[in-house]
Amino acid sequence: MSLPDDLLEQAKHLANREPKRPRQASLRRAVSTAYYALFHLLISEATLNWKRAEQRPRLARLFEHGKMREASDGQSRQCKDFMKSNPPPGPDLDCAVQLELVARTFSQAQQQRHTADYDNSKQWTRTEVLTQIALVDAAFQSWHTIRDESDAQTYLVSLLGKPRGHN
Amino acid sequence: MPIVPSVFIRQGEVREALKRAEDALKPDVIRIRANLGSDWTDEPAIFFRVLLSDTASQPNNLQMVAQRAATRIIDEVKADDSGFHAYFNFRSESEQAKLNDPDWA
Repeated sequence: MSLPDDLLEQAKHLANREPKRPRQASLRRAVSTAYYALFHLLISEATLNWKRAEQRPRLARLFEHGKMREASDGQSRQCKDFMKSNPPPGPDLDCAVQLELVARTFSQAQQQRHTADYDNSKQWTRTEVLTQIALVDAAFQSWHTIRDESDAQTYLVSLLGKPRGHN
Repeated sequence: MPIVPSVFIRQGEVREALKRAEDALKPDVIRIRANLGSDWTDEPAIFFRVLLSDTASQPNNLQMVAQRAATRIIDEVKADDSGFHAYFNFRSESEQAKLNDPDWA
């Protein structure tokens, strides 16, 4: 399995590690790991477009959490605006629905990861964590449905940040 | 800087919107609580806490229930038009019964 798939599986394992009384450490790491599963999925998909495979890990390190979040928020808004315009049923609408789910889930998961990693006052429950993992799992499935669509590929490029001269 | 819409200033209207969402999402959703704040990027955010029935909280149901609830709540509160990022947490009724967390009561 790939690193993103392994991370998602690990998140599920951590969330269910203690069947009776889940430890906060396990739940926190599960939330964080689910985010990193999606983070690495999107980066690995983006770097797959780089022809020289040996340089992909180096390219992957150029992606930043904040810029990816900003791009995801923008993508989510763009998809929602399109959906609100009452487009006819078809592949464009299907793609927008799936892409919006991926982008929105990325932003949600990043915020949850930040809370899980840094806010010790927060008490996590297994349901909170399993919900987060289920949404990331859904984002994985959506991504695999649309990964070859032009809008999905444009989203991957946008994750690197805004072009120069763009506010 | 987002413009704070009147819906957020008039807390009563927020409560009404959440009540409408609760009614629409029964029996999966027991109650919804929310507070305003900032997310980790310092952007204004609204944090929703959604208490689910134990049946709705079964692992196989979570994805569908959570997506349906989030969509309905965003629509009712008009979170998309507010400039606030909406974030969601979901707990089960039995978890809350054990924790007795006042933020979820």
